[in-house]
Amino acid sequence: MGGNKVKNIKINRIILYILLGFFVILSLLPLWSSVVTALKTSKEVIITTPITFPLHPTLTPLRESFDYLKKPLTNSLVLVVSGTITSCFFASILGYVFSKRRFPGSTILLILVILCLYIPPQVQLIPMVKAMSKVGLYGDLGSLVLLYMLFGIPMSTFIFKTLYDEIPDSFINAAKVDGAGTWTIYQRIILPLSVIPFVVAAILQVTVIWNDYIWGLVLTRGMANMPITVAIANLKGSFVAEWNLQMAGSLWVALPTLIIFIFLGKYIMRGYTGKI
Amino acid sequence: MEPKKKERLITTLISLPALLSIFIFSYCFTGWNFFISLTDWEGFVPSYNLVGFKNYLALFNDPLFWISFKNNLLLILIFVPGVMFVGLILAILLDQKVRFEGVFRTIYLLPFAFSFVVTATLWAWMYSPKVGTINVLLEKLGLGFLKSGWITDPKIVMYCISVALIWQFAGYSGIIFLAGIRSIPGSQISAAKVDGASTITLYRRIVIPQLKSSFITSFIIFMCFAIKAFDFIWVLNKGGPGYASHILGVSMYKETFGLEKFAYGATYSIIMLVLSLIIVLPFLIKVYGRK
Amino acid sequence: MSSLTIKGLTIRYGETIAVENLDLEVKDKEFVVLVGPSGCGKTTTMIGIAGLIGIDEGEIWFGNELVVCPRNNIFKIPQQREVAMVFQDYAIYPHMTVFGNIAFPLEIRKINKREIEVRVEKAAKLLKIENLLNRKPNELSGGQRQRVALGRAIVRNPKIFLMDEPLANLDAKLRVHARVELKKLQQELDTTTIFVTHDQVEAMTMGDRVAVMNDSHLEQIGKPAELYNNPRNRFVAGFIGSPSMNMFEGRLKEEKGNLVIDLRFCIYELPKKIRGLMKKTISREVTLGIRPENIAITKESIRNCFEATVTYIELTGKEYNIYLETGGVAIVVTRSFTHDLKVGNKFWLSLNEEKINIFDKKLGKSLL
Repeated sequence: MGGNKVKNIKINRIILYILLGFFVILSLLPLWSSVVTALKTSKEVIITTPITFPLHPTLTPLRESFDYLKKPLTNSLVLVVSGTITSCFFASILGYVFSKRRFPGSTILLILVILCLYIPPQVQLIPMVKAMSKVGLYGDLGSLVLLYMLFGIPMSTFIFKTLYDEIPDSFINAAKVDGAGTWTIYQRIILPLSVIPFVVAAILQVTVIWNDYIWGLVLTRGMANMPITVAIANLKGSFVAEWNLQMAGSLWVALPTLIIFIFLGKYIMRGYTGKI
Repeated sequence: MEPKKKERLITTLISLPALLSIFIFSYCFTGWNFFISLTDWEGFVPSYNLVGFKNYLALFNDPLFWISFKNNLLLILIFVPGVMFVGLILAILLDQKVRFEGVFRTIYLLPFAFSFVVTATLWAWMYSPKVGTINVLLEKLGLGFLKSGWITDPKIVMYCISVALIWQFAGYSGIIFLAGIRSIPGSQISAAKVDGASTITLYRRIVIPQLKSSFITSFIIFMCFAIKAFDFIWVLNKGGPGYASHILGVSMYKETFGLEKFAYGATYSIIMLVLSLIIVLPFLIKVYGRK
Repeated sequence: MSSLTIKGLTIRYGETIAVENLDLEVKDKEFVVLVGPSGCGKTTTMIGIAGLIGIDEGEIWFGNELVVCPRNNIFKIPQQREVAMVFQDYAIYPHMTVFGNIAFPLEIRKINKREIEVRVEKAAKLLKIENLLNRKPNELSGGQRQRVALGRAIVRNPKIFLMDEPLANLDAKLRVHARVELKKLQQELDTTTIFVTHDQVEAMTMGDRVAVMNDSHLEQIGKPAELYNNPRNRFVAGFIGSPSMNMFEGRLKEEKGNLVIDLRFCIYELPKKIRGLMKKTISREVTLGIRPENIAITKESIRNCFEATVTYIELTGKEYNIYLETGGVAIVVTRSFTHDLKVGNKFWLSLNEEKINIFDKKLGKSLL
């Protein structure tokens, strides 16, 4: 009687975990297949199944692809650091203004900022190319540096605004009564409370910039200038049948963001679920 | 200067750099792009002869545009409902007081960590007809008759692409819905249980109806993504075989940087912009219009 | 309709014991109030009865039906227990109309549409919300939402009503009115009810019997008058009644053949009747308890009285709380007139002998 109910509950739990496990396999299969292939010699790639671990694992593909990707990797690092720091700095201030200093028209401006996130990049490709040519940066890494510094601002602004909204207005009002002005409030109250917002915004920026492809494709020329994503795409194009090399290369590209998602995943989730 | 004016000035000054850059690089460039679409610029030397809407007319008569549009539509119809459905399932599963929930969540979110370039490389390998994971596994499991050319088959290439993209975004979709489910007060769930609702009834009649905002949020995000998608398909097979997986973003790139028809490419991108705005504007106005 | 029997109920949250070895008998159709300070285990007990959490030890019976017993692996899920519950935040579904909310438990049981309509309207009429049936919850006031929650509970004719502080979110005036209405409703429906609250006034005015809980234990259960006049221990004595009972520490002594308590600010002679009632006790350290309304203030010294100085006078509208002090001890006296009482004046206080309580100082138990 009552015992049956307990058993039914147990069966349901088993089914639940089977389903969860099924989705785990689906999620990880491509990645596992990639890791396993990256460790195989070219011969093994052909003779073994794509999901079995190699009999004679080799680090050669990983080493070779790393050598190939050395310069693009440093390029991407430069882009990530410069882009994240700059856009977060400006976005923090703008986010503060939108959150705590409402003024007539601020809602419309906020809508315009958020709208930027939904404008397809295709609309900015040609003007950007033209503009970069004009300032002589076209084809150079510098064009990307400039681009990421600016394009990260809308998304980061929205994150800062959303997270600053959680700071009670009473803090700000108390400071005003104490005589603090706009900039002082930012410095003495908002900034010290900004650790989490900065972490969230920065992590988001880092992953977006690191993973970006289309801008690197359009604005840079030559291995010396391209980010790691463009380089890996070229690798795919030039070494078509060398799957182990391609897999190894894409693992190098995937590694940093993978680590971020595994260890700092909760900040990513905070950044994305607070968003429209 | 009186304090109130001074504060306003400071506020304006500190917001100016960010606002200015957003204004210029998003809106001015968009306007500039629109202007370019009205010219006859072809080749590296820009030309500023205004030709009105000639490019748009040409676009609507261009079979490649319609092929791209149709492929884009196909992508939208499979990808958007698909990713939302899988995300909802994942969210409901994760809501069941699972042990190690955080671990499962992180694993499901991992595909979202990858650049589209990485995803394209991974799935090119998965879909490879001769040595790729899918076909080899099907063979090994005795399901060899299900083998296919996958992305080399023009008839099903868009479906293959949609599945790969669902794979990439399912975890993200899942956490959007999970956040929505978790925002429902626990007392309502308890009340429904005490009222006699089975788990299925609970989700069907109490939880899902209250996920309206999660549905809208994810719909907009995934629709806009489907309209502007480019990276994944370009790296995967450059829109092939032939034109079978050309979508608007791919065609735009080809016309602009392949054939150097800048004005024509600009026209493509304006169409993509209009499509995105149709999706987003009603929502933004509704949410922020009240304030 | 069903009685409720709880035997040896123990519920743990990890390392903490939320409810320990609770025994409780609720008769069919009875209205029992579980009252106690925050964290005493009353809400945990309630959700254990409902089946929203499991229990670690013990048994719960609804009438003759064993509903949960970990030892025999018996656990009925909430859906099967035929209890109805009203939550503190009402938990009504915002996306359904009032009608939809109340009809929901009936729809689940696949009752036909016509009958659902009849029953929902009947319940709505009883709660005087029949004109709100088409509204959505966000259009209702707090009091109206509370009645919707009640409607959803009564429409099922459950065996037992469980109510978890349903009046706590109402504003003060409404709460008094709702108390009366709720009790009348329960009497009309004749359904066994367990009602949880932290407000002892609510407990005393509503309960057929009141169960006082503290720190995961049941301290005392009985009719309100019993708890008020014959509290079993110091906790119950101090918890029930506002302002709280005065507690004076002292030592029992034999003096000239009489039993007295040395309260330091006076030697209080225990009346012979009390002496007869007192249980044998080894310890000499006791606490004497007396409620504020049972202390008399006089201008002249009479037998068995002591002097005190007025420190503060508080008017609550219909009566006065007079705060006095003697020898470092604070005293509260309640009466309906002040006459010539002023802060700083000295008066004589005497205790109503019929209403004295004596507690063992260490164990807290009543010695009467």
